[in-house]
Amino acid sequence: MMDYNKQSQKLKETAAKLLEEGTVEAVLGLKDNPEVGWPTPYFARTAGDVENLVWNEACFTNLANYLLDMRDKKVAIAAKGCDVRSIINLIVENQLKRENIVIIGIECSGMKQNDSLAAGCDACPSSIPNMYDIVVGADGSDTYKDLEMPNSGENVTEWAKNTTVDERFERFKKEIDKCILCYACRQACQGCYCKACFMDRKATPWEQVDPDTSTKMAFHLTRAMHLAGRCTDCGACEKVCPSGVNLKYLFKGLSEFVEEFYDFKAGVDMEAKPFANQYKQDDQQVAFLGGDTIVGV
Amino acid sequence: MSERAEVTNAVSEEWTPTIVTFLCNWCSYAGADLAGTSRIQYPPSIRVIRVPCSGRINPQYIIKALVDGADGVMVSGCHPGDCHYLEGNYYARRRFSALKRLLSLAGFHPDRVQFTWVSASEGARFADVVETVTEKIRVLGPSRLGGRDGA
Amino acid sequence: MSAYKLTLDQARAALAKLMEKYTVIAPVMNDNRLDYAEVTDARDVILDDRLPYKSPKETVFPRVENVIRFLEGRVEEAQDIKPILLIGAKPCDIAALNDLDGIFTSDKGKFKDSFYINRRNCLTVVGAGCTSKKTACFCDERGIDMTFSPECDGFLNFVDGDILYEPLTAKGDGLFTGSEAEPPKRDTKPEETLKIEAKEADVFATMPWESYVEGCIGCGTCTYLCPTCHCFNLRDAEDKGIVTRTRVWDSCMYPKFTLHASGHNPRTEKYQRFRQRVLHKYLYIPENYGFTACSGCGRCIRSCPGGLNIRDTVSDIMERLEEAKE
Repeated sequence: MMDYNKQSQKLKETAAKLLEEGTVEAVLGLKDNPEVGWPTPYFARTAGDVENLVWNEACFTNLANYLLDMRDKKVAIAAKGCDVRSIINLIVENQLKRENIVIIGIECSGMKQNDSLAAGCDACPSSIPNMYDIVVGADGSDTYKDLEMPNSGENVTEWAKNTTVDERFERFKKEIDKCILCYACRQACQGCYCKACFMDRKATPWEQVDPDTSTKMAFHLTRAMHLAGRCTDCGACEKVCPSGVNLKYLFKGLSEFVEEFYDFKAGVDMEAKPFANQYKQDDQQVAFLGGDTIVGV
Repeated sequence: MSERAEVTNAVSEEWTPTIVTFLCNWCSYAGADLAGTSRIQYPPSIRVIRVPCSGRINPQYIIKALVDGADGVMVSGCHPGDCHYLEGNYYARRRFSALKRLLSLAGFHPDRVQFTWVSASEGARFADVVETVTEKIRVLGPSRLGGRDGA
Repeated sequence: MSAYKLTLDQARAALAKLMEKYTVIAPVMNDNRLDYAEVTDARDVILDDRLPYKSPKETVFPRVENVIRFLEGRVEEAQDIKPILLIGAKPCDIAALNDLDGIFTSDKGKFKDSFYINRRNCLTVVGAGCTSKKTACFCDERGIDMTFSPECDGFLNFVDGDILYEPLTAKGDGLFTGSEAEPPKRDTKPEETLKIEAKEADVFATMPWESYVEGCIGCGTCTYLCPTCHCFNLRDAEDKGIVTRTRVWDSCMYPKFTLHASGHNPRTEKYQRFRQRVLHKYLYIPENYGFTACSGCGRCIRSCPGGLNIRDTVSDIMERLEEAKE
């Protein structure tokens, strides 16, 4: 079982040691924030700052994004499975350097937001991060316990097979209607690090920024497309959304698709080539008109 | 699996859908030309946009066309292996496969987006493809998207 | 004016009547969250201590507003609006509406915004008080009495499970009636303690702005939920030959907010944008209009994914200014 106190203790000790030795410039973690209701990002820069770090069942924030601001500095990060998947994805895409990051891999069996399982945790495959330098086990020890995961996530492909086009459109439209186009999902996403997002290029007359239905649809669909084979299912987009838009199922569905047809999963293998940056001559033609193979939805 | 056609408006026999069509310069556009010079008849439903390569088509173009009210989108390029730029259509194939799945998940009828390969010598095939695609989209009826909110 | 006492059921019945004449906006549950939204059934209205998640500024300053339409041979300006009745606005939100009034309609502002004024004239505001301070609320530090606001058209007080309606203006008179009663006694307004009294040069470059924004992810949630944020953009869009000019919300937290036509951008860093947000509310608007444009509702603090905190930032600045004086 999880012992957050012991994990916090181990995290603080490790962070203090790293900072005192001068191995890293900062330790990226979370600090308590009762006003928000869950811990928020915090950079510990001195051994004295370390006391502010916390680790509890509400530490669901994906911190990988913050590493991008500190690209050229040596930083340690308190990372769960989803953070590490994101870090791997960013390394694969040449955004981060492995040698600049010290990963304090914290075992995690799912986080809670507002007393229910946080978005993304239901589909998390393992309590052990895919990559780590320092081990913080479930009980704060130096070994991972490999806990049982909730594994209650929706299988989007199955869902799609059992619904009609109209039902799927209804679900999509219902979520789109809530969106206020504040871009919190984009900003929180580890994969959305473009300096100029396609939505920000206000100069092009065909790219509108008014929050009307077609613009919102274009934004979310294109973002989903850009994240195909890059989404690490961390759920950050849903966790930060001020309007409660739940569109992660689109991303999850695409991840399932990419895994099924192209045998690629983001955030697993540091040597892998990104999904959209490679091809095989015998790739399946999914649902092409008159193509060799017509498979799936 | 079965798909219930999203027919909301009564579909008349005369109605012809508007299909935004992206054709690669080297194969499919030439194929369309051949269909024209060979005087092969096909429905006047397509609005052709010529692009250098099917690999150049940003999925966003297709999404944008659909959400702004196009009844359908058709994309055609060189057959895999025949790309003028050697590998553009291989990348496009992956991208379009994923896009088709995504649009289907979001509730756009899969028949509204059609991908295919037509070479420069396949004028008759091009006409055939347009006919098939037009008929598939025609039975679905007009798109229910498009137009600006409140405008 | 005197007050009227009525039961909750009577109030709901009266509200149902009012819905015929007005578009009623009130706190209702929306996806497990309390929000100001258009009421379709008087029974849905929730009047309790909770603060709705989003601010009610959309009633007078919509996210998207058609300003003008260019049709063939003529133009069509903004249409008539049905009278709007905002029920259950909290004192902080009423104070914020007042701030917006000051910016869009006052004599101190250089421009009078006809679209805002048009909507504002159609709006009747009925307030409702809070009984307790919620986490991240700091209305008291901003000098706002959380139990009562005299700056609206009428006020709903809760006394022993009944409602005491207190009309405050001619607009609010007669909305709810019942047996006559004495209006409740009021506490004195708290003192406005959280404010920046300094010159721009004292704070602009000397405060540790970068340390305040470490958690910022650069989304626009704070500005979109803020009841006083009012930056907008005008856009022309063409559809089937008809050009529509719309006014849409913009946010100073976006990198492209200040992008010049030349390509130069004076605010490329997060801390510069956050500094603008804080100083606009606490320094520039006070200089130009004479009031601080923050009502202490705490929405930006509660909803910030990065844990940025405008109150802590301002009080830190106040402390540093105090130290510098000594």
